[in-house]
Amino acid sequence: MKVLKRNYPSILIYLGIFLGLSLLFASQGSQQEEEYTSFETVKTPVAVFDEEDTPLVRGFIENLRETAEIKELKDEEATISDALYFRVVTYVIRIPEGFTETFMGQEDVMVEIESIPGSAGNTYTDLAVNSFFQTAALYLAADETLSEEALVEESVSALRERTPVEVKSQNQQKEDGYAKFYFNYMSYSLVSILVLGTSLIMLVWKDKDLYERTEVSPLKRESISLQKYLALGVFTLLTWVVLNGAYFIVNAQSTLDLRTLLHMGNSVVFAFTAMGMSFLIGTLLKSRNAISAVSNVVSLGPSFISGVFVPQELLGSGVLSMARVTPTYWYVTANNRIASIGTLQEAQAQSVFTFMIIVFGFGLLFFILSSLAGRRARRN
Amino acid sequence: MFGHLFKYRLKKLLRTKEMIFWTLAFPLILSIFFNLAFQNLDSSEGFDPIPAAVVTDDSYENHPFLKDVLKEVSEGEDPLLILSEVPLDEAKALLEEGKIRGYITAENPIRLHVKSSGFSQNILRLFLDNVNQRFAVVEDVTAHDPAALEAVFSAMEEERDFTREKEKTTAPPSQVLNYFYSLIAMACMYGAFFGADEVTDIQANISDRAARINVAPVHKLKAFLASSAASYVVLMVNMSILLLFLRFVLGIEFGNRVLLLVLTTFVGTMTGISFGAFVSSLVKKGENLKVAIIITVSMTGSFLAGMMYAQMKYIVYDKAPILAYINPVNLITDSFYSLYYFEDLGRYVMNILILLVMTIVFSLGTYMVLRRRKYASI
Repeated sequence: MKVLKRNYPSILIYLGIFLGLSLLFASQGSQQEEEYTSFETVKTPVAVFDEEDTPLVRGFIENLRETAEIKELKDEEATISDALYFRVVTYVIRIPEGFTETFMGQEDVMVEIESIPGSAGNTYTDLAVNSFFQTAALYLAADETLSEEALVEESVSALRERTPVEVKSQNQQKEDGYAKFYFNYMSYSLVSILVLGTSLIMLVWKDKDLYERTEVSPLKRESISLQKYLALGVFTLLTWVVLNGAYFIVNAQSTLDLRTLLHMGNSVVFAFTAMGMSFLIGTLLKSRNAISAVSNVVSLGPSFISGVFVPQELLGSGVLSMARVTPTYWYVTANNRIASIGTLQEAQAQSVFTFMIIVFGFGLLFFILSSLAGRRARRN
Repeated sequence: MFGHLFKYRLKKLLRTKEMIFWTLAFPLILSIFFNLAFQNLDSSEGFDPIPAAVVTDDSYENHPFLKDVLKEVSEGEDPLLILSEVPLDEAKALLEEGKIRGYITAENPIRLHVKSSGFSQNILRLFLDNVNQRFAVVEDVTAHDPAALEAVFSAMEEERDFTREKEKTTAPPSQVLNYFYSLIAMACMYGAFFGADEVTDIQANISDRAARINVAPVHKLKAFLASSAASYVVLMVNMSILLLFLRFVLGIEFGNRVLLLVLTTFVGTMTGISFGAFVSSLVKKGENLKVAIIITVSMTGSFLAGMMYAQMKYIVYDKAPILAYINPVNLITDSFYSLYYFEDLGRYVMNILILLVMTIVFSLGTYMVLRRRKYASI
């Protein structure tokens, strides 16, 4: 259909924007994810300012690396506050001058910290900081004549003692964060592009002159609508292909394994539903200006509450139950499950396919509604 | 005459539904979504006591030290653990059901059993590390210098903390706020649509409406000022609704300096409008391009100010501070942020000053382009 071609540039621009955004988002998101889920000891971002350089302090910092990722920061009040606000670091340690001397003299001494009050990261790093100095203090209590170097050495060797952890997890599979984020984000891009594109095309069809021109043509009604559906189908398919193609280009190491196939299958179903949604919107809307408004609302809204932008674990249960009425919720849930499975049986067990069917059901519903609405409009 | 123009302009603006949508309804809708999506963001990083269990077998019963330590950390005002003492089977069942994060067995060294990984499990582990390390110290001292054991035990008795929280001058660092601040900033910049429209409607060669206004015997500047004032009123009303909605319906914290908040909004909207006017006066190619430029600038600006990803704002300040100072969206966001977060007003004043300079540059620019423009009469 030629109409599509004419609107090409604007759709292409949107496609480009969403593609860029999704790439950015996916890379950003998968990084975040890693911080939260890998079991190898969690490391919190910490900044250390030491006003003296002694073996004790060096030993402390070295030991801290076990539980913290030490970040460089400019030693300015404003920078530190900013960094804490934006969680670039969650814990700032300042070792005052004369700390070592007072410590070796077994007197009361403290490091000064700034942190995010009441956070779990705070508890964690507190434990780590205290455990080093407490251990050292114990050795010092045992032998007051101990030299600083020897003290550090003994403490460090005691601190090497770690608790054996046994993990009893059913799925040892490491989650593929990047794919999960990319495909989740795709739901936003798909809906945005399809709603904008489809409704633009359908608006043109509604144009009175054009409508009458096709009506007088010696074609059957059915044939006309079939062609229209086909055109939209092709458009949907193209969008889907581009978005999926981009995934392989960016994520070059990914292969066509089971997970990727399931992700792709899931997104095909979702594309179908998104097309149904756009069809419905295109049938109902009459003005060009309303389209961009509606397209923003229907693409952003479900994305926010279904866990596309913010992981589902962080959303409240009330929000999630609200999200259940959107297909996006089921699509995202399926994606999240797919990201950590290994076999087809597991996919079955995790009811991935049930979710896909639900999404498909939404799509059918949209099509039925829009054909009903369309028929009514024609009668008027 | 001024009043007349003002009145009709106001009517015209209120009838332009899409402008009202973008400057009022859209930010409102977005803010509701933000609120839904981010309501748990701050509390998710908060620390809640960790549910855990310890297996009550013989070795645990014979382990007074572990018993004491566990008791100590699961009592008091801020307990670390919510501890249940259960037999092994029950501990396993609890773990399977997800009622506890892990269970502890009193072996040598003490062991932790978990189902999956996570932050709580890591805290649990670090805590047990601490206990195990105590044993290592005791063993070590026993091996080398048994006489000193006494001193070690008494030191253990009066163990103390080595950290002291620095006194804060800043408000609680709730990272959700920045999303809302940048949203307001974005809404201010959408005021550019109004500005762009003003300029379109004053140039007789661009719009019919302008042609009509231009034939009236009114000085162009006067006409422009009158209609701009109307735009400004509409935008300020929109922004006030948005601010009041955020503050009182969604409960977003802004700090207590109300007058300065109003000033920020005032200056922010002014920058938005003048930016739009400037773009509109430069671009003659037509409405779509103007809109595209405005959207691109405000969207990119919002992104860099952290509307989609809050840390972005910090990254910009860290890596390319210049970008932070020429981005109006960021300047507005940062004004709200520094009003909320810092006691000191230095940074706030700086932001407002730059915004004012920008506004003046845009306005002068617009004036230069538009003045003395005459149209051939037929």
